[in-house]
Amino acid sequence: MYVSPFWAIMAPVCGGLLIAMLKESRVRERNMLAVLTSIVTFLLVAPGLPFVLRGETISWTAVNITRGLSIAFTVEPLGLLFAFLSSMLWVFAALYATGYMSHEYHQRRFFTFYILALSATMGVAFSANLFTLYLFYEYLALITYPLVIHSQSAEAYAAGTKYIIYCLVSGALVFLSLFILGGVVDSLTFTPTGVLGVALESHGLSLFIIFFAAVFGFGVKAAMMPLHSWLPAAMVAPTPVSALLHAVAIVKTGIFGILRVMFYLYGVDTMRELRVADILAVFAVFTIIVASVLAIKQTKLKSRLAYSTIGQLGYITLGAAMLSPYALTGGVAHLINHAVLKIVLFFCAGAIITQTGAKYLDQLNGIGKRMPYTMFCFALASSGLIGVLPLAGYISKLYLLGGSIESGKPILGFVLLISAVLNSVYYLPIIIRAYFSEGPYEAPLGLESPPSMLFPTAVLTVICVVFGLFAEQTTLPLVTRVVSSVFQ
Amino acid sequence: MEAGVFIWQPQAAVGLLLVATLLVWLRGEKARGSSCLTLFALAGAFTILATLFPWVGAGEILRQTYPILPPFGFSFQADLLSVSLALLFLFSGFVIALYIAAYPLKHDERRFKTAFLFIMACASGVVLAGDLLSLFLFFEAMSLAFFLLIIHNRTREAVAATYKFIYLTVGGSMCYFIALAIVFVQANSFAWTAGGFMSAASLSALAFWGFVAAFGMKAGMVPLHFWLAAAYGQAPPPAAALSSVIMMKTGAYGMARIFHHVFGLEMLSRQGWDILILILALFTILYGSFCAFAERDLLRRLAYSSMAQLGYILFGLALLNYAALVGGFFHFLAHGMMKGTMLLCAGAIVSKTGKRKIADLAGIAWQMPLTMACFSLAALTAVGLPPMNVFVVKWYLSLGALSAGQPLLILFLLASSLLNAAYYLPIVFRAYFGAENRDLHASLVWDRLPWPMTVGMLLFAAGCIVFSLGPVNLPLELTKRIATGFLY
Amino acid sequence: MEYLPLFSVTIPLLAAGIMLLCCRSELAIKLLALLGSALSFAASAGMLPALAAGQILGTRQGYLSFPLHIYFQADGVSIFFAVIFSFCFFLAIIYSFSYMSHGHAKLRYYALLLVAQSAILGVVMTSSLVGLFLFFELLAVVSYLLVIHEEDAVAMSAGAKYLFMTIVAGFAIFFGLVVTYFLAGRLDYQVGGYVAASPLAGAALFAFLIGCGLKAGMFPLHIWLADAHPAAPAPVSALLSGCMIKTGAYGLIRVMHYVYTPQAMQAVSYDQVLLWLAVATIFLGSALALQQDHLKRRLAYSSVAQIGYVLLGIALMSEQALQGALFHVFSHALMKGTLFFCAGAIVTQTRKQYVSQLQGIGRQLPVIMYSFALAAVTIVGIPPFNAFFSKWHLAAASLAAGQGSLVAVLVISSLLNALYYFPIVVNAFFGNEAEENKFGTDRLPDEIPRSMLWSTALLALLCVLFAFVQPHWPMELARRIAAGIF
Repeated sequence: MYVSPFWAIMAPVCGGLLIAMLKESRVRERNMLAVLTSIVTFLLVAPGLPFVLRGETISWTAVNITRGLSIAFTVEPLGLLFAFLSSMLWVFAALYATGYMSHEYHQRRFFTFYILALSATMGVAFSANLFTLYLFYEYLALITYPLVIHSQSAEAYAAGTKYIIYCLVSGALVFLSLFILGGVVDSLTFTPTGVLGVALESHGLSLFIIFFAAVFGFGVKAAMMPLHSWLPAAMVAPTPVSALLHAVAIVKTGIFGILRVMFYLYGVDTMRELRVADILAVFAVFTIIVASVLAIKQTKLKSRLAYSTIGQLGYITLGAAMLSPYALTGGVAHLINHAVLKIVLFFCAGAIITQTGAKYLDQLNGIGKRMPYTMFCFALASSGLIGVLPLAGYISKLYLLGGSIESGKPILGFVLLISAVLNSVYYLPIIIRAYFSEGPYEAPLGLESPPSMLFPTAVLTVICVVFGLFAEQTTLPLVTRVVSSVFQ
Repeated sequence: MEAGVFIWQPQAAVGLLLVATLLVWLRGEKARGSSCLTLFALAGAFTILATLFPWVGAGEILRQTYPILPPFGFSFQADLLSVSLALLFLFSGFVIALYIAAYPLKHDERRFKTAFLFIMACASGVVLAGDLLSLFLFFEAMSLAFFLLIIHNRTREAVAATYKFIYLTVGGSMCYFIALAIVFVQANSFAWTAGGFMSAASLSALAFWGFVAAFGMKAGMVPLHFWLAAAYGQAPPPAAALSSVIMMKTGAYGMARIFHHVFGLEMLSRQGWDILILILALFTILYGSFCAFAERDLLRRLAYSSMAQLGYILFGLALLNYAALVGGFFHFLAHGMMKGTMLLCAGAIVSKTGKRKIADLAGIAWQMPLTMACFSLAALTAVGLPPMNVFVVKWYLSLGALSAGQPLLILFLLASSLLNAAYYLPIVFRAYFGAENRDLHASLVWDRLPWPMTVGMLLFAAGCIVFSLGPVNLPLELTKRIATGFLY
Repeated sequence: MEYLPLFSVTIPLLAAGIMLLCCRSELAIKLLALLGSALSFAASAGMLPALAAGQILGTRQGYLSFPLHIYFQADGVSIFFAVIFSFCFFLAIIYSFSYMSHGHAKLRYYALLLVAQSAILGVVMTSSLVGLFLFFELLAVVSYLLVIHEEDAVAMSAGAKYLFMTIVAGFAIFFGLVVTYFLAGRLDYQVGGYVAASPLAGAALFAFLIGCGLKAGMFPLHIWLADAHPAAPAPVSALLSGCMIKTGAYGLIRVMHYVYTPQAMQAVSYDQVLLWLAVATIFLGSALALQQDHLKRRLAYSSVAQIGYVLLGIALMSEQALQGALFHVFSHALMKGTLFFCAGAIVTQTRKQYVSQLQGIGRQLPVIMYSFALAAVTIVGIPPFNAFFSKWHLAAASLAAGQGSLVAVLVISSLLNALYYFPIVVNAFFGNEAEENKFGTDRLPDEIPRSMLWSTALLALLCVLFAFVQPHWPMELARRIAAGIF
């Protein structure tokens, strides 16, 4: 009874093309179309949830190029999780973007690529093999480039150039691994227990090297250090783009790719044999700590959020690298939780920019008076990232810590805690400054920001609480299904 | 454990307080209505919980679990200690709320009262929680709300004190988190179990000390006490009263649960942790007493004194026998009444005369005789004069020390009582006999304070002595029953 | 009849409460104070028949719960002390009427006196160590406030020293209390004691020694006495010397004979230690008294020496010795009361505080100095005055115990007593007035207020009265009590 992933990919393509055909001046129609398209996509993805929770999967091959090389799609736990998350957040982001962009230029161009990026993300989510994943991965990079350079300033162009170079490098690495791995095994279809185990004796060394090539390839997009510097630079883009890049589309695609490579190509046992996970863990730890420390030094709000994202993504990588069920539960849960929490933070930052023009942290003194509800959502979401109950972040932390103990490496748990303390060091002063410092702001007349921006922020904040308190009913079933399929 | 009895009282009480918090916030800056609302809510919660007495008084333990808040759900537990402590907190909160109703807060009254009521709700939640995670939920919320009270005056020193408090709280929370994760992995349960449920595995020591760090920070245990003096010096005195009488006690309560119902007394004595806790308690008592002696500011002196008094409770908990436990638990009441009196009196002095330094208090007993009479009674209680509460505490702690075969510890207790006298009695002397020009009418006059403040002070002062005056010391009998329930 | 112990303790307390709440006029204050004190004395005196009959009076009603109860029951020892104490307080209040007529804070003073009377009676009227401790602490606080009554620098520093040492004494007694309770599970009085020997028992006994000894002014814990007694107003000094230091002795009697067994005390040679300390106290007190020029300080050190006699009697652990000690409590209260009342009268009338200034003062204040002389003669131990009998019994008991040297101690100390009292008397009557002391002939002698005069004279008379009355009631009662213990 389920519609194949084909429609989930095509719907945004149609929507994007329709937007492109509308005139620039037709603002209302364009906004409605954008939001509608994202809603439709979500509704196409959503029925897959109970389906996957029952344990069933669908596979569908679109194009069979040669033996072992095909464009194929599958609906299975991890992919559906990513697709569900992305499409759901895209709805809110599209709504938010309509409010944010209302005073900007080139909105038609913006929304076109904004919606097309959704289709690319759906493609990535539903890819059944590495080749398909690679195709949509590159597609996504190209589609998001115009979004980065949207303001067309010199800074934007420079950021865009950096971005595209990093994407190309990343793509090259993935292509290389695709090529070599394709020569080693018959098909690179994603299987929960991995497909490369058979080639372990014969091609152990290549597998070892290619592991890092693939992981770093995806890791560029996932802003793993030291390949992260495109992300802070890309903050020059409009905030809906930042929200999406940093919460959903780009970076989570990178992480998604890493998870696919690690658990659906290599598999837990192969990774244990090759002992690659520990090395990856080192990079993850490095990322977490250095990113947290660098975040403290940032003076611009969005830059601080960017470095925070880099660190939080390191959590997910670390969770994957610990190779234990609890840890992976924590990592995948954090994929969801961080997305929701970070998008709220970026929505708040965007609201601040549009309403007051404040970009630097020392301009935020007393802004709680001007934008009380926005800052309240900011406070809640940042508390969630620190790990305060009952918001969404604590459960991923708990499982990550539990995983570090389960895998016998409690030192990694300490790293997580230290970074949580550092999180508080760079989030709490913002909140205190906003509410308790003297500043030039006055109370707002009427609503503090347009409802199209305020509404998604508020609803997502509530979802943060729901995903925390009611995680057992909402996110955890799907996460547990992913983990149990991987760790058989 | 009663499986069949359904309890609704803890949820209702906490829920009532939370709803009242929301209403107080929404009412705006109208003073009188919100004070009445606060008092009604506290009285209502008290009455609701009091209805549990027929069951818990008979020694039953009643639990209620909800499937939210993964991984093990959210639970309440009503046993004699929980309910008694909750009732004590609610009564004390009622008195402090009465006092706040008339206390001249110069600005942001709504925020203060909302934060106060929220802390009351969370404190009740902490003692009524049925497992480590539910407790942590309320514990963290309470801590984070308390910072709103410290920062109330918005001076630079207040902000600095807030940061100290927040970072120590976050640090404590992180320690709690790692301990939680260890318990999660090792025991797969968080709920209170008679005799403890953690076994002596490799990381259980880390878990134990993590919990001790988190609870000890709140209770002002050395070496995590740094936030106390700064917070008391900057926050309005009613907030300091809230902290001393209620908030710090939740830390001690947590320790009691950890010792008895998570790890178990056998494990504590086998691993030698009880001796370490005893040493920490002794350090806390001594260090707090000496610092109090050296302080010149009245509220900071009371802060260090609170720290030393909480050390008595830890001392009683660490000795692991019946008499010491009775003494430790009774000190929840004794210290609450005594320190509540002193802090409310200090608040009256500060609000009426603005004097905070002890040297400035010369002769103030003749301007504010009722206030100083209450303070003197509390000071005599603190020194341990019979028949007042603290004598009972000292009596049982000494019996506990003798039961543990350590008569020298009594000398220690007496030395600290001497130090108590050394830093409390000079305040009384200065107030009565310090002035150069002595207008020595020894007649009772009223202080011309608003009546709620006076009644508040009198209620706490009465609480210092009234329980010993009757033929049966009701709170003491209750405490003995609680201790029996814990140990046998 | 059963409620007399309770009444004697609570009536002054009630009177003080009423006074604080209602009274504003001086007359009302004085009347209420007098009434409260008199009623309390009447209640105590009313218990004398029970003492004579050897009964224990009191109810089984327990009061307070902190966490132990106190019961108001009086046996022979209690009643004996109570009558002495309440009588002294009664007279002190009468004396205060005129002594304090120009003083300040009268309301506070009289209220505190009443509370002090209540407290001191409470010390002896309760039937367990817990009650003793409770009222000890109350007495400490109240007596401190009385000591600092003048609020000048001297009084404040004396009071501070006194308070500190009293607090330490309280802690020592607390230690003894809690260890006793731990060892025996009870704290009430039982003839012959019930706590067996053990190391902890020894520690507790020494704690009691420190605590009660400090209160009594025993060497080496006497250093507060010489400052506190002079700094207080004269009636308060009389009470301090006459009554309050006796509570320390009372405590020791209770601990040694009613709580701890003789074996427990043998195990740590308790009586030996106490004996030597008592001897040291006697000598030290006498020697230091000789050196003092300030009259009240001389009297204070004399009190130290006199309490040494009482402690000696207790330490000898025999019936006759205890009889002597108890009688000396009685006689010393009267004597020292007289002496301090005289000193107070001298100070108010002539502003003279030093012995060297007192030449020829007998002509100016004849009645006062006659009383002083009478008391001085008594205290030296000349028969047939009171103190002779107590020293006689003490000497006899020492011989019976084989400590002949103690007799020598008694004799020498009596000589020393004479050395520091008689010169005052002689000087007063036969000394030449110094030029600046000469008063005009238009001044009538003894223009001191009546209440001071009469109370002093009465006390002095009582010093000698009983010697001429048969049977010698106080001696008789003391004998009965001692017989009851041994």
